[in-house]
Amino acid sequence: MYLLVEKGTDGGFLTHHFITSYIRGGYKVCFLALTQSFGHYCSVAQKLGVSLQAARDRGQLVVFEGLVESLRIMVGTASQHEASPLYFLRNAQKGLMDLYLWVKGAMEPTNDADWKGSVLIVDDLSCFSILSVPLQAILHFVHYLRILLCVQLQGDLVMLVATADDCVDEEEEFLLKSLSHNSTVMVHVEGLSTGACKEVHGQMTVASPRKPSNVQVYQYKLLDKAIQLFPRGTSSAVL
Amino acid sequence: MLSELCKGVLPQFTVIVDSVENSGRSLFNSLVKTTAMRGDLVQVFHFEQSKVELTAGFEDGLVSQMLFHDCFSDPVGWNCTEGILNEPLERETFREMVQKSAGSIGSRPITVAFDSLSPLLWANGWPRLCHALHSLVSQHSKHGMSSCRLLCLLHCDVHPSGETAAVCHMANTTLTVLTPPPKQALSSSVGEMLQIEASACRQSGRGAVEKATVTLDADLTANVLLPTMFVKEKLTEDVNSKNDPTADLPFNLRLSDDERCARDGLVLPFYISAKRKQAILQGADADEGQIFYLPDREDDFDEEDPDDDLDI
Repeated sequence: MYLLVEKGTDGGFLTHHFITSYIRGGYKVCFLALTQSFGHYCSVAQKLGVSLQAARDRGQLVVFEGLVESLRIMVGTASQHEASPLYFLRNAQKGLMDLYLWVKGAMEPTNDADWKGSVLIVDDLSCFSILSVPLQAILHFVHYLRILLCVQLQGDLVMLVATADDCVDEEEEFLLKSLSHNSTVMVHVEGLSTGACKEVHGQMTVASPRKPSNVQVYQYKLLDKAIQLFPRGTSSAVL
Repeated sequence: MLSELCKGVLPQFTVIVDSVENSGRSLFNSLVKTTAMRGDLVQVFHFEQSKVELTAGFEDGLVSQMLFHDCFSDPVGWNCTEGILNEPLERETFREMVQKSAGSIGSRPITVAFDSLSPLLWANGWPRLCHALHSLVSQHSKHGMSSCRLLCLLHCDVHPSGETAAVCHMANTTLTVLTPPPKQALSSSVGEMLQIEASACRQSGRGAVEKATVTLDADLTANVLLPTMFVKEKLTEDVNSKNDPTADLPFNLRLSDDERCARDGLVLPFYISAKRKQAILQGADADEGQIFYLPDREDDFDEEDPDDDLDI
């Protein structure tokens, strides 16, 4: 289980990286796109040399378009509401069980293709807390996703969580810590404490809660089609 | 204290308090394994790890001697089973489950392990959880069960500090996983190293705190390196005197018997008793005011009227 945490900066490049890498690697990918339209991810992936639309057509990629689905919840009919995985937006009691069942259905193994493995990517999990889903419901959702992906399917679960740069509220912190406890790898992305810089775009910390002594800190620069990683203070602009 | 714990000699209620930065899960797994190896019947309620993850590094024979209550696969019933977190936690829930499972095994000492308490604490709140744990620890003898010990993992950074403190208050021994010193973190190639602070509360009221570095080998064997013992004298009294707001007052809050008698006998000057009131109303001479003047020898007594010049 990979936990990607963006703190006060845009960590979307990590999502694009993981989607394109898994598609290239021949994995079956289920993608919960909650913050951007599918067109946005398509164009970025196209730039990185992967066609998400083609992957979707051949059944390798299953996308849940949160923005489209939420619009249906807002303006659709009652029967459409109840059938939607986002029904919790109208009925807070429902929780995220319907969305989990949708993922479960989407990840069911099919005989027509032989994928290397399964992966679920969520961009991003903070949307639920912004939409006032209780913390416990989010934790249950993630727990079931973890069982489905990491235990039953022996696959990967990649989740992006956005946190504010300052004024972190207590519930948000509890959510992040709870997720961190059960994650295998955590990638923290944050801006530089010294401010924005043209040559160094931020700092990335890779850690594993299971091996607390093994923490790696890098700085990065986003290039047109790649990410340049280097140890702290060794940017070519400095040396 | 820590070396005994690492050998599987657990007090009745042990809590391992950890955080994201300093995970205590490997220590928990190690203590579960060691306790099972000592011959205890270990019953594990696992919420956060699957049975496979939990028993990684355990011998097959050992695993078969343990009992697992699977709270991991379907905690809230989304996969069509009865979720343990769906129903409010009753006082007897765990005790009945433990007793039911242990019924056919015999009279081996029972150790119940929770990995972890955090989902229960989120779902039920600390009062219900504390009641359920207390019932598990205290009432086993009434129901014909052999002695029962508790080993719990608790993530302190996902709950308000008061809730964590409430659970830790029940425990006999609290093992807190601390940040290891930087030198040790660098030299941890031999195995996992944890800095542990063990605080035990004895029935005498004395508390003992021990800090030590614990190494965990690949087979989950825990060894204590260089323990440092700090004994806190009369821990409970320390806490009470620290919180006593009347400790340094410059006056007494209570009176002795003599002081109380003296106070009762005192008549305040503005208080008019029935006797004094009667005397005033009757105009008694004794109470009428009089002025006595005794001039000194050096006084210059003037016979003249002092107001003579006023032409009145």
